[in-house]
Amino acid sequence: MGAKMTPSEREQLIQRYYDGETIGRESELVEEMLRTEPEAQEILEKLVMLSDNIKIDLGAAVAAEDFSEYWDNIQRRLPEGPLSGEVATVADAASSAVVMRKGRRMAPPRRPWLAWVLGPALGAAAAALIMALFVLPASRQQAPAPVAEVVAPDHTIEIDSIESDGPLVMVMQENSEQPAIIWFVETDAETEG
Amino acid sequence: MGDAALDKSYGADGQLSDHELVQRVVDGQQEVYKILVQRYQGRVFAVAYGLLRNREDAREVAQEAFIKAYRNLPSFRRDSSFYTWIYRITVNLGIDQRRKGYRSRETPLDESRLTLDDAHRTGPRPMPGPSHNLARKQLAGRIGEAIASLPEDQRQVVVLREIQGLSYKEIAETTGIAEGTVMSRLFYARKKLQALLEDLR
Repeated sequence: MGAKMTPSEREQLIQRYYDGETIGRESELVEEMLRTEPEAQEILEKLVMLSDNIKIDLGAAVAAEDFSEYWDNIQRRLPEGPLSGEVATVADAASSAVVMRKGRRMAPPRRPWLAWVLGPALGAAAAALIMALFVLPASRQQAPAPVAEVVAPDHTIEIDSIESDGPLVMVMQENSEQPAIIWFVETDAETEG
Repeated sequence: MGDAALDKSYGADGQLSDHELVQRVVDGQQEVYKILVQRYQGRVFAVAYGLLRNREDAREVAQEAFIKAYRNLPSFRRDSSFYTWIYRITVNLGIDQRRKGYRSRETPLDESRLTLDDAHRTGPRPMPGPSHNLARKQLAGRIGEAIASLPEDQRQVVVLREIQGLSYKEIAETTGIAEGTVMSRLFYARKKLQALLEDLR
């Protein structure tokens, strides 16, 4: 395997070994190269030396910095009172509620992963609930995401965008491993669900 | 709560995990945030300095990063680490700062303590002793010049890798690029630095 690699590929493999990023039998391959090839040893030594030099540079910068006033400077500028976050306000984590700031727009889908359609089978009650709860104006289809964040007891879901054509709601989220079904309510102050 | 009481309650030496500290801050214990600041201030400053090469700008970005992180703690996703999150904020602020136009491309380094062990230090650096080493200063200056000459995207990965030893995955999370791109940028950045510093061998 090692013999078939180009010099650049060999260097990159040794770099990954040095960085602890080799997988499978790559480590054994590199260690064999280091035992038998002076060039491989030299590549590794250069990496070690470079790393040491960079630490000298940045270490010197850190050593020269006076951190004694950092916390005071930071604390003076911290907002007082409960934290609410800048992206969204968490209204009620226990009930997985969502509150979006007024004026947030809905974005077109970028990475749709979950689209659920509310059909007749769900019954008149569900349809009526959706119609009553959530109507998105057409003007809300152009602005950037993210639009909201949901905090549940066990995890946080960041929603990239929301799309709606009347009762049909599509939810996109950053982490596709966490499925979500979220209801939204339009109020005077904010949109929540 | 005073420093001593704070240290006793939560352990300035890192007895509580970052996530535990974050949760307490979110729960309203603002003073606990000081532990997180002191835990990472050295490394956050180093990231900022590595990107900006200017002490005043780096200080400003480092402090702003902690303030911005604090304001956004409720939206911090616990499935990632606090330090990759604060580094990401720092990198983004550093990029913004560079776009705004920072003060100068380089600040000469005039110090002889050459370690990264100062993350918890809050007092001024001790005065250098009589063995103050001019050669070390010049060495640091040369290295600084070489790092400053790297393209910004390469400098980011080098700084994040060498300061904190972040994995490729963590660097990818921090910078928003693919792991393969991290590896290739690191590779070419190191090649360039090795060429620039060849005579130091």
